[in-house]
Amino acid sequence: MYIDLKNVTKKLKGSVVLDDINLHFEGGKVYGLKGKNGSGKTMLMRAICGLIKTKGTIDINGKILGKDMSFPESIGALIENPAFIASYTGKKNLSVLASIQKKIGEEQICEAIRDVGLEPDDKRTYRKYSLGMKQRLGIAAAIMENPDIIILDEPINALDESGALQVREILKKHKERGAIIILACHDTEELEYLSDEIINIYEGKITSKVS
Amino acid sequence: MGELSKLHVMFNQLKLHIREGIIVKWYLFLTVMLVSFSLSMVYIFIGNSAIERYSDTQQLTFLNVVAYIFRGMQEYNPAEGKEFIIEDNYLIWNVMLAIIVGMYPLRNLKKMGKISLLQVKNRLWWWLSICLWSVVTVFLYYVMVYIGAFVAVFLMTFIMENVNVFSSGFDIFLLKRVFGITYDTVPVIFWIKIFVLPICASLAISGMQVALSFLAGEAVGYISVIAVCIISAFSMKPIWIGNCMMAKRYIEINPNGIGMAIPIIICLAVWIVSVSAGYIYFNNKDIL
Repeated sequence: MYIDLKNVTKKLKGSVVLDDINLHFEGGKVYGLKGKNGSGKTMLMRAICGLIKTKGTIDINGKILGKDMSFPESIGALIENPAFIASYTGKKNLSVLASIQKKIGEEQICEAIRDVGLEPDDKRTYRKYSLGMKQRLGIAAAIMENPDIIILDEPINALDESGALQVREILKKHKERGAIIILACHDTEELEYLSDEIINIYEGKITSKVS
Repeated sequence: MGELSKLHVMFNQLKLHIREGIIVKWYLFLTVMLVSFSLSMVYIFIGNSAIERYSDTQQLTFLNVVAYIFRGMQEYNPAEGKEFIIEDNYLIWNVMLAIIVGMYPLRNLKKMGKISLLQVKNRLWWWLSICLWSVVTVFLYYVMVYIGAFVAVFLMTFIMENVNVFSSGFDIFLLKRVFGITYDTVPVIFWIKIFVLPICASLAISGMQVALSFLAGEAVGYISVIAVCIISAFSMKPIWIGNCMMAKRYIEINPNGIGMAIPIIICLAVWIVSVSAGYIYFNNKDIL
């Protein structure tokens, strides 16, 4: 499993948000994107998800994104604030999402919910969730199908200490099964702890990579 | 993944749109039914008093109420020098549908739609699912309008002796009063049109609204619907599909009015162009 970005460039309203990005991601590793607000971390994640059109090529296991496929074949993503149906419980929200591909059943959905520290049988609806619980459900949605690529933008936002520990466990579990994990986090210490490789971004450019 | 299984994924996504955009928003459809019920009740009281005063041979029926709901406006002729006023009975149905259709697609894409798009993994299927959602929404909207009217007539059947929900006919005396006609019958095609043309027009207008919302924003989608309604009120040419929602402008009522085939073809063309143009744009759209 690999992702290869070659000369990936994106302009938005005249300004360059991704500037000639060349990166290689390998399965079984966690990559941390580091940079200040507006540096291009989220935009890079969107590009890998196929949500934005870019110049250059994004090669995922030999298939070119935007040419051979619209979106990566196996991806789970949490980008910015998660949003679900307010009047449904967490489990029902994940069930309706999973019903699109029908790849997984109730057992895997419950497992993902438990992995993030929520209770599958919790009868509270999403609108009654705290910020931390919403964040946890967003992570559960990203990992429930055990995708080959996991993108997590600020996964520990609004999480307490136990939540952050659970994220560590989740990343370890999915890394061990060979997934590519790309995450961005403002907590530099946490990011360095979680990542096998840190990629520094500044004004849309990769400035350094540290293993 | 084969094309057939992708189609299956599109229908699964459509089911999710129906949950998010229709079932969860049930109160909007209930409101439509209540508005239809209220307007029907108003007409039943007006019609009943007219029958009591001027006629004793006919009964107010469900068809009379439907004709009243979709009566629309008389042809506007600027040469007559009259003030151009758009009647609210015509605008209200378009505005309510525009609110329901406009509130969902783009907002969904900024929220849960982003996750579901990654699940569908195909922009075409996601786009078609949202277009089909608008079709389902339009049909359900009309079902609610008819239910509201039917319930009003049904209830009043047991209260007013001049109201009869069980009659499959209509009161020509009341029809003459609503449409200002002098002849004693209307052809069956008029009733077919009154049930078919408004739905066709709404499908086309909603398709256009969804495409324009993605293309230029939600506000532009709403403005486009209002613009089509205003121009249609001003001009009786079939190209302005809002005329389909005004029975007073059907050829059976107004000799210069619209027929059936050409308006349906125009509505179909508007829908196809909207869906196609919307997809071309959506396929290249950055989802931020």
